[in-house]
Amino acid sequence: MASTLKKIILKSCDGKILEVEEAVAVQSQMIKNMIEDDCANEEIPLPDITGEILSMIIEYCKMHVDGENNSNNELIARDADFITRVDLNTLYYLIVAANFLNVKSLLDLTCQRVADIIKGKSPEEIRLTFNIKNDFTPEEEEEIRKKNAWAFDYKD
Amino acid sequence: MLRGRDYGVPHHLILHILGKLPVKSLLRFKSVSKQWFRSTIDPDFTDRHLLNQKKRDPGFMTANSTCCINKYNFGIEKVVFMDSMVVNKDNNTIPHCYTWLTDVPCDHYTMLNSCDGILCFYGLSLTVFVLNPSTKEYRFLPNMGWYCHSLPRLGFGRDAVTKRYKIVRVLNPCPSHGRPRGCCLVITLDPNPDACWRSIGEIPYVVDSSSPSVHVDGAIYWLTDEIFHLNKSEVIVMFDLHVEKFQPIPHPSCCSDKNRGTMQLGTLRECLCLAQQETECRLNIWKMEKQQQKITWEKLYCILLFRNDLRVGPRFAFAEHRDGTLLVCSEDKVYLYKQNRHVCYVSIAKIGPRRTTAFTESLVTVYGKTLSRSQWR
Repeated sequence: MASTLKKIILKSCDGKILEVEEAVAVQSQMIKNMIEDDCANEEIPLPDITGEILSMIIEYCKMHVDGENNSNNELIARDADFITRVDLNTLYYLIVAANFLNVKSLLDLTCQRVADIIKGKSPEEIRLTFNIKNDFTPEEEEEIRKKNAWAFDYKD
Repeated sequence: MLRGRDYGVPHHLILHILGKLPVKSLLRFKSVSKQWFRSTIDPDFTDRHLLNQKKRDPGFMTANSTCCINKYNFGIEKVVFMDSMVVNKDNNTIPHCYTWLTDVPCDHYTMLNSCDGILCFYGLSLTVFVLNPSTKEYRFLPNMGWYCHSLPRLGFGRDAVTKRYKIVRVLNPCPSHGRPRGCCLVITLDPNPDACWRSIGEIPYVVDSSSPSVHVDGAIYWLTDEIFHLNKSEVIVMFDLHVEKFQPIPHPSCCSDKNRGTMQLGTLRECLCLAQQETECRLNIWKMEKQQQKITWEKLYCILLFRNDLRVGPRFAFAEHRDGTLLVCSEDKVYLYKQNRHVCYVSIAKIGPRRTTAFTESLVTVYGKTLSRSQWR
């Protein structure tokens, strides 16, 4: 069982160093590939991920490794508990990091959470949330809105 | 605010988020920017969104036509279980969503099993139309014309290679109308507004007129006619939507000696299933496994029915939730089972005769128009 106890050393962009069990680290497909290519013997620098975000991701991966034998419903409940504690801005950094580290289930979970938060918003609120410029002319925008007028009934 | 330092969220990550939104939100977000607009109509995005939707818990869609003295109503109703646990056990209610399709001329429509969020209907005068109730887009297909003196046997599904949707019409033999052998017509749902029915020639099978067809992974499946197909190796026929050919497939052991009227095809976990009402109060559900070319059947559920209003037939449908709850819909109720045990049932409103199908919403386009006059409530 020596291999499962092997530690992988991760270094965040703000210099925080985290030692992670290999079983936890390989939840990241990127790190798994690095281990397979024998490139994970020294510390792995993660240029775009802060220590705070990295700790959260490791907490998530650890939860999934520890919970391997739990029922599916239990894992769903734990995921929900983990994700509802995260605010929208942190979610953004988690999405970027989960995408970079290639932790598919976390990317799904974080994107679903953002989707749940924004699904009832108006296009104006969406532009503010994502910092998107409206590049439609007023006429074009009006026409698209008209075609989908019923979707602007916010009842559900 | 979701700003991420000074720049916005990269669009490929935005697409991940959009892929998990309900259709209604996506239609509203078309007016956010040109990039968002293009994304929501991109076929690759539609497929990705569909894949995500299929991972969610399905609901049911029911269709019914009612005729009062001089008023004809045709409507669909979505029955959604947000979570099988939110069902209020005291008054057995769940959210309803009716739609009266007033845009559609009266023709006493029958609904086929849905495929990828699209419903397909055929009327008494043999008009066929498809509807995506989530985007409210619909399209009438050309009339099937002189071919149609017998009851329609239609199938609807997606060609796994070209990714196009096709509607298949099987014409059983009708010697009195000069058709000694069965034949088959196909129409492809593509952007061409003049698409028409193509004949693919004679077929040696007769499909059961009372049992609805089912689409799974690029093929349509029918139960065959019991009298015509005495040969018990031909209980289920498969129509490959790409090569456009029929072939019989192996069936579960229960089919050999039982009345085909007690069986109905359906889908669970993206696999073909066969529900078989073994006795008045016992329902078995078999699931087909396909490994390479070998087909095997596994008995997935064996449930006891304690009410006599649950039986296979046009109003019968089943679906499964991620938490393992089996939902069986019949007449005006949906029954919930966990590990083969009955948990509870939920009443759904009873408005005239109805057909029921398991349903997942999607952005899939039918290259048609948007319903404008129909009432949504």
